[in-house]
Amino acid sequence: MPQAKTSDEQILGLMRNPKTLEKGFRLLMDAYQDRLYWQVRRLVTDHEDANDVIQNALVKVFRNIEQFEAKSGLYTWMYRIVTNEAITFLKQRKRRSATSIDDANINLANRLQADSFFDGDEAQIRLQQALQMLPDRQKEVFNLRYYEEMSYEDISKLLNISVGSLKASFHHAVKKVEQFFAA
Amino acid sequence: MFKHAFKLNFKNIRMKRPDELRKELEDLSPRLLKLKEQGEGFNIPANYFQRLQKEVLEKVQATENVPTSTPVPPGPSWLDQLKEQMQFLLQPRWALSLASVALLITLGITWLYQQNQVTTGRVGTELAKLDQQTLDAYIQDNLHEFDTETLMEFASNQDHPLQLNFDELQPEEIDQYFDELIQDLDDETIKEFL
Repeated sequence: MPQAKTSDEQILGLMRNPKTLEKGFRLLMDAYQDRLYWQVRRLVTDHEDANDVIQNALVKVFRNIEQFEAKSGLYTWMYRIVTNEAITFLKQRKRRSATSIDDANINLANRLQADSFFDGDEAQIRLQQALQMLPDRQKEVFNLRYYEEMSYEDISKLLNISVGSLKASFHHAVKKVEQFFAA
Repeated sequence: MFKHAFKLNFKNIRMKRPDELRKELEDLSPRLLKLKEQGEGFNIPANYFQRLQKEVLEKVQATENVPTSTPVPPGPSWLDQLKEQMQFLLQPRWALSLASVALLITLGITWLYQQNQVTTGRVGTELAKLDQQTLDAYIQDNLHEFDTETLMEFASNQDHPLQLNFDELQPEEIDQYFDELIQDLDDETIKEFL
């Protein structure tokens, strides 16, 4: 989209000037923070955790903006930083909890039911439990297709994975979710 | 703390649901299509994104005040360093110098070995000059240094029988001496002594 491209150039121009760095960063967050936040939230589920992750990731974006080489889009670059931060967080959480799959599902259900920032019904909780069992990268593909409604072509550019692999990954994830509901 | 939770309804998202996704979910999982219609269930606090900007900028300013060390680019690995050294040493003039040094070391080791052999020979020659009386006195003074077999060998030597001066030994030392001798003797040898 031409408008977004111009906007990225404008943002980068402002951020590369120390005098307008903060202004540029505010514009960058205005443009992308909500989309990036929801990517994180769907991975980690809890709002407070998502808040911590997105803040740490945005600080990294700020500190490393000069290393952005524009080979990919600005959003693609930030998406990778944010998602890596979220996946790292998930791995640390799994290591800390060291619980069985059944216990993890129970914990998640309890957490969501007690979460004031989640008002989904039982079926939504079951869906989150099913998604929790997916490998992190497969869950990422699922989220991009199912929630973000991105086309496979756009996901392919974002993740640098072939369209065929993405379709297979998404279909496999859907199948696993169905099996979880049927169990 | 948060007066009104902002509810994210998926239908409010500016993107329209692609028909291809709908068709895909209809084929794969009508259940998931239905759940998608109902929304995700996730909420965020009111004015969250405004506060997010403020908090991130505060964090950025806090980290900017902390001095950070300049990352040092990694130096060459030990293998690369070894290769550099080898390439340097294999230059003709250095290779020649190394070869000369190696030759000198070899000659030096050979000379020292030969000297050692000479010394050993000299020692043997010098020992041969000592009389038996001197040798016996040495053995007696250092009896504890010799094992039983060696002593028996001397004792059975008819040419130079071992002369021990028992007067200078303590009784327990004499007993120990004979006990050790007897333990090492076989029946035939004992018969010869009887």
